[in-house]
Amino acid sequence: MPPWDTKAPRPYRLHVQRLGLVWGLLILGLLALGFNLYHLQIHRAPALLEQARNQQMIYMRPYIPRRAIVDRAGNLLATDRLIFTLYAHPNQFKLSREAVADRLAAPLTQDTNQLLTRLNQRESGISVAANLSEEVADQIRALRLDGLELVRQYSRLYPQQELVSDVVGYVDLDHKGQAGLEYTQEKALERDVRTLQMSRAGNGALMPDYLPDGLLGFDDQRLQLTIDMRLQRVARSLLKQQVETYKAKRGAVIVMDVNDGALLALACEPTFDPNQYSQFDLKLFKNWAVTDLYEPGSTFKPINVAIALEAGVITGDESFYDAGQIKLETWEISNHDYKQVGGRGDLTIGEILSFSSNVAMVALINRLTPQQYHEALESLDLTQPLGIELPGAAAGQLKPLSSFLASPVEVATTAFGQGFSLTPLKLAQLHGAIANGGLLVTPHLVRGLVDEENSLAWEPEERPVKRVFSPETTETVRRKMGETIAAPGGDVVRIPGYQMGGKSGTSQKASPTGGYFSDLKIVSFVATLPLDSPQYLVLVVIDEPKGEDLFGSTVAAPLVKSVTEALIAIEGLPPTTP
Amino acid sequence: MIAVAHPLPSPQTSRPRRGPRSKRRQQAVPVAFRPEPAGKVIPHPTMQVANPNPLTIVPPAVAAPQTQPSPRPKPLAPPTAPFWLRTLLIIQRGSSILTFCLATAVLMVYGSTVYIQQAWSEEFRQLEQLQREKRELTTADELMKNQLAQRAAAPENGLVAPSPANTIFLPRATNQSVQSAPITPLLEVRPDAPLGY
Repeated sequence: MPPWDTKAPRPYRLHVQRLGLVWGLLILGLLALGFNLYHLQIHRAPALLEQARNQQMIYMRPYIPRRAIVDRAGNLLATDRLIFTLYAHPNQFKLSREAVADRLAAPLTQDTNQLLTRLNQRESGISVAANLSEEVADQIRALRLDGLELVRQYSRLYPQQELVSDVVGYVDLDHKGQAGLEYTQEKALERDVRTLQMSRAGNGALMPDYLPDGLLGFDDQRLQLTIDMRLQRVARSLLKQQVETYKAKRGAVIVMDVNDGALLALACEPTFDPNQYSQFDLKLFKNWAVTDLYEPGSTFKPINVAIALEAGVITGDESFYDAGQIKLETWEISNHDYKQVGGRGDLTIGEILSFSSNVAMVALINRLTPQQYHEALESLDLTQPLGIELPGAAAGQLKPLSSFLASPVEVATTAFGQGFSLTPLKLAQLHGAIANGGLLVTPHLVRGLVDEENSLAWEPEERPVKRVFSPETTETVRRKMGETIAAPGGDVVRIPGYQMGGKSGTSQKASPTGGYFSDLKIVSFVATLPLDSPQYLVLVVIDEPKGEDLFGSTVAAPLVKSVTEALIAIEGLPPTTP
Repeated sequence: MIAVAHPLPSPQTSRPRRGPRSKRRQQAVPVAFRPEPAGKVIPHPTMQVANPNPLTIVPPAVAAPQTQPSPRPKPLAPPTAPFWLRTLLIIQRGSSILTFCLATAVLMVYGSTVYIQQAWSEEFRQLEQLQREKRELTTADELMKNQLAQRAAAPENGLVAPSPANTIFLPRATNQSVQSAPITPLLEVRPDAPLGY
């Protein structure tokens, strides 16, 4: 018992009214609160919930760019960057249009009056400026002006400009590939840009409560090509010079690793700058070395020799008679230098290739029956498109067997590389087969997807390889092509210390109306090195050069030599002879 | 009787309060309901009773408590509470410790959820910033490469394309030269030789 209760407290009067009043007030407050609770939680709940969501939830698109494209050494050929488009809604301006125009003039580097006229166009949705960089966007944001809207977009940047444009292609405004690898490798390059729902705290900080798994752990893979940027640069600048010197219609340089078909350089001229593709002719967006057919001319002669050797109808040390000119049916077939030199008599295979004798070549091919020859040409997949990763790869054209059987002229013209057509890249593939021991490898540009450490994360499916010649046959043909370069006429491409095999080609261009143009030529030169165990192939094709002395050995060969020199230095090929 | 258990307030502090309190006690009105003059402290009811007892009732003899309740402490010495009570006490103590721990844990978890979100938000902002810097750096780097290459291509710069003529090929070193190199024995350092200069 507490000590203070020892004495009874004095009774005091209870103020009932006051107590009742307090009680009433409390109950009233309770009821009011309860009512408000009901009102907020049940009656207005859906509307409030939505309002809260609108405030807290934001739709965010994290930075998931299209994959970059890099060369063999990891140099960037194409990458994504962010650009902004500025829209103005003058009906939401807190300031006058003049003031807004005045403040925008500096970051946009535009004239205030010009801006003002644009802002006066409409009440809302005026596109003020496009292609703004992130820095400019930051500056505009820092102005904290109402009624301005910055819309983020991805834009593709090709830092090397036109260097690899005919390989890489370009993407359009919707960020979709429209040419080259950007078009064919869309699947490997594109990543789905997910829109995320995220909640935002009162201070604007993002809250990760609704984050899906693996959102930010997107891989940093890039599409790696087999192209070597340094070699491509040399090839492109030299080709450009040569095309300009001879006022040629176009030209192409192909450098291929003969053992697996990897293309180290693939340059076509003229070309376009993919950063400003809209300013160029549509025709430039294709890679003509892959899409356009031409008659290879004498560069095809080594292939024909290989066909005859493979069929066993000739041996490597046989000779063939060159009369300088022969007549088949009503057609006269002569050597390119018949008027100056006349007939050369018996020629070895090496000499046939060296002098590029048409007549002896016809004699050589005539050892085969037309049927045999046609079959052999078919087996080279001349009429199949190449499996390269560029769009529009064309299949070669070969006359049907019936015309081979009907006219010996068809067989004869095919013997020196006319009357049928193929793409420059197909010719490179065929010469590659002679260089690598008889395998038809698939020319390709894509190495795969690589991660940050440059290790392959994804590789394309294994490319088909087909044997078309025996190693012995190709060895013989290679030796003969080596003799061509070692012969007096081969000094245009000879590089001291290096043994190469090569063949030039000059062909008249077929007219679309039938027959041939007498003045339009397409010249080419193909070289492989090192001769003992070839690793690389260089092919140059120049279409419609103009001027004097237009041959593969004069127009294309010097280019082959320069490109090969660069190739040797870049690849570090040691000389075979000191 | 129970007055002994109460702590004795020091005489100095209690003395000034005496005057008004004695008056109050005469009126026998509970202190809590009485209006107090401003500036005065309302004493706790326990103090009210405790104060006068030792000073007024308890005689001066200090020995008095010793002589009077001699048999009392003995029955109190073994405080045998029933088993159920002890069990309950233990449970109560245990559960209060548990409650304290849980409350701390809850606070920590709650704090961490708020903190983690904030930290994430900060890190995310940093990630975006870094991505942007990377983007800008790589782009600038490649653009510069291209620019340099274009400038190098101009003939007036005197730069030439790579070619075997300007490349030096070194023959591979043979193993023989390595083997034939005489192995010189390590020089012995004489302890008495001066090592510094």
